Amino acid sequence: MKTRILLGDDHALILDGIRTALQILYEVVGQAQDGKALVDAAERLKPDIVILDISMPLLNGFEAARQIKESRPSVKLIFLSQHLNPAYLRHALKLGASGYVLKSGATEELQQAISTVLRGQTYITPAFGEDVIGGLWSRSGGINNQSEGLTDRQREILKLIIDGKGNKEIADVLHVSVKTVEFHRARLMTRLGVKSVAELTKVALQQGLIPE
Amino acid sequence: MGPNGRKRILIADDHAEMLEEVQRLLKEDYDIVGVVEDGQALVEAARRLKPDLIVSDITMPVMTGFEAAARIREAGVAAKLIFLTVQSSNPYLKKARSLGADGYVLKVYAADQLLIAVSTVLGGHCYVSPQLNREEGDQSCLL
Repeated sequence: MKTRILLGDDHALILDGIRTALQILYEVVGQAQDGKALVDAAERLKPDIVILDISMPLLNGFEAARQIKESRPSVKLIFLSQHLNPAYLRHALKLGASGYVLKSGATEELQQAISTVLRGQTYITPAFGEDVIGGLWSRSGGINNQSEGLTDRQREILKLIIDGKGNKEIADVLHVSVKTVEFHRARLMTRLGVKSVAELTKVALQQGLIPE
Repeated sequence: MGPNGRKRILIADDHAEMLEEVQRLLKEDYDIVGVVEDGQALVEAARRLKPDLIVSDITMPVMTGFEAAARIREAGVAAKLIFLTVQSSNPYLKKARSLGADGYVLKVYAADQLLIAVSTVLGGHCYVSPQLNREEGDQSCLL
């Protein structure tokens, strides 16, 4: 069976160019011109690979990637960007991307990225240079530093949030300022990658962060 | 730029833990040249240190981040400016833009977005957290 690919880019010409280049070897199941449409299409079409730009209307590529990975963790993501920006590369990898290719590169590079990714490996455009690429894995904490444990204070606050306490109540219970509680709440949500208290509760229970 | 070629950043927030978090996020790639806890101190530090970029809270004692930004601009300091705040409503974003801010990041997304925002802004573009409440049809600064 042919590998199913979904494309996301706000430039119709680029989409057409990629589609033409890829459809000989792969099945291009769809294309979207903004981040929201891309997330919807990924949900509906269940592609094996999503090739996406970073700059897109409505939802940028990073946010689209996060949502796609959340609902379908097995999907492979390849970023196709005009930015040779190491911070963008690191962020893409942190979101679970398997590839990062420059738009200025020839379509052969994209083909190479796809076959690398299909072998279960990561493809990063050599344009970044050895310093950046080599440095990815030597930085403190590596590229996946999301799973650091929570501090005792964060666990306390997590427990109180899940108990349905508001920031003011939590601040009173722990004898800290409301700003401190707001800070920890924000930090917890980011670290656990959730956006609502309901999600926070679910993830906290799943990961055994608090006793049931 | 600093002597090592790294961009110089000044940070302002009245919450010590948030200051630490911001430093932790940025220090590997940038020089943190100053850390201040109110708007008045921010204005003074900006004039003295002439950073490449300022990352500032909005709600701060003595003088808000907005007032400080206006004075910094008046003083002719050309630093790029990113507001890092919990304020997610559109009037705040509009005010920030009218003061010439280059970036606007919600604190809850700092760990994910601050580095991206900083590198985008230092690259001459603008950045606004995609989760922010925008006006209908406003597609600016989404990367």
